[in-house]
Amino acid sequence: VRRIYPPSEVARELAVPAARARDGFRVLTCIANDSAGPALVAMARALGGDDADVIALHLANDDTDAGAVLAPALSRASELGVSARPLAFASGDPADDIVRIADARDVDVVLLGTYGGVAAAVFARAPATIAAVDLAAALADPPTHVLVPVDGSSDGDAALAVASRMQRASGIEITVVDVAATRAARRSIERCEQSGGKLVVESAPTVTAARAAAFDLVVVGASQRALLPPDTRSLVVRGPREAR
Amino acid sequence: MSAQVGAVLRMLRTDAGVTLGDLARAIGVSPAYLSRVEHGHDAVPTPDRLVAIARVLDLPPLVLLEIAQGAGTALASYLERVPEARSLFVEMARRELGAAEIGRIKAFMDRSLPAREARRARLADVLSPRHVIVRAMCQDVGDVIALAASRLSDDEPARDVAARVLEREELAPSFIGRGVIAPHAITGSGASRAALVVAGRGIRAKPPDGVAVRVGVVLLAPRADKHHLELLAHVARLAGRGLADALCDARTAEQALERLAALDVS
Repeated sequence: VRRIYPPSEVARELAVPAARARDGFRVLTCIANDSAGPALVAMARALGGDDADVIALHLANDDTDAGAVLAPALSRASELGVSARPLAFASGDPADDIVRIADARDVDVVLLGTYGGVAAAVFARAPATIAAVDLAAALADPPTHVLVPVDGSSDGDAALAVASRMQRASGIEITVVDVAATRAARRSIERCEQSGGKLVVESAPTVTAARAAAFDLVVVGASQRALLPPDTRSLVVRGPREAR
Repeated sequence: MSAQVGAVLRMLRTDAGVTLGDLARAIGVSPAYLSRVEHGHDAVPTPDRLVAIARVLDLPPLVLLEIAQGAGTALASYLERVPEARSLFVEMARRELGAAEIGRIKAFMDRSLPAREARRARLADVLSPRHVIVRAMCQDVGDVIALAASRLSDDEPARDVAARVLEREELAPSFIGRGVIAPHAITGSGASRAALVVAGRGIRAKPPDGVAVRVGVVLLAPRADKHHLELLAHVARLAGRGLADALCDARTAEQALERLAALDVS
């Protein structure tokens, strides 16, 4: 007897796709406009490598077509071989919704397009690691050489952790500038090396514009941001916090 | 049609905690027949059987009749039982009463002839503008649930709310037809809450009736009780009245709530 519609088939068809086990390194990229998307996806690729699982989020407060805003990000993701899913909805309070979606989707990193007002509000509240890309449009490809100022602060350590994560995921080269020359800063660098980080270590009181320009990107802790010369292509990082 | 009705019956039965065998026995049919109905491989049950199912599940029979056979059948069954009502309708038609006049009749009825049973659970009672998400772009049911959880979570992390609803959804998908899905979970505490997610384009899903899913109603209930079941049945009823079509191009949460209210008369 031929079974017309076997139960296994029913189960397969009714299965919920997103209910599969959580895998990969999940990055919530918050895309404000169509030109911001590709750089954020490139950064997510650097962070997650082949395992990057990108959520391309657009929160609209007007009649903008979310599909059109997210299209460049999604096509960049497919060029880079990254799995990316679009997500959009109307939001009157984007910072609040970003924090809530990061929680609901249990993301590893929140990536923001600029270090502006929304970013400041998200930095203040989200429990996940957060990174904001400054001058994002300048960065079309995933970075390969990054500079990390380290001063022994927790934000500096978070920046170093994010750079190490990129090294493990995509083999980037990391140059660390010890800007504090303190025992705490040396310990931060040693800890990173002990856990497998390959670092070129320099020492300098600050990051000059010329030095920054020699790298694709400067990964910097939120509290050290003032160290950077203006117009530095940077990734501003805040480490994970206890949940609200 | 039968696939969608079957899926709703199955969801309501599961949520009522009644097994297939128990329901079949209670209404005097074979479990095999009932299973075929639930999977849409047999015709929608007759009104008599639907009324019997409603009794077992402790749901208002008219609600189940409307879900299964449309408002027309539910009304027809009433007119058959109370022929006097028929002449009243004829009289109303003769006077060409419009919405305003019917509103006055309704007000009189509410004053002088209150409903015998307690007021039934309604979606609008457990929904606030903050929990209505419009112009959503979602890939699948998981996204719908995550969006809803992100707004519904106040005491509990959103990821836990989402996981709970997803777990229930995996057990038995909550497609209730006509482009609506109603993922839900029992939370064990707090009040009943709902979130409404309106997706402009359809999400990736395989509803039994083949109508692209554009609206998700996510329900959190403290207990799997009569109120919860009535709420689910109410949402299924709204779906049948065209909830997805009414909401799909709502621009704001307030607009979506207005359209919901317009569907939610009677």
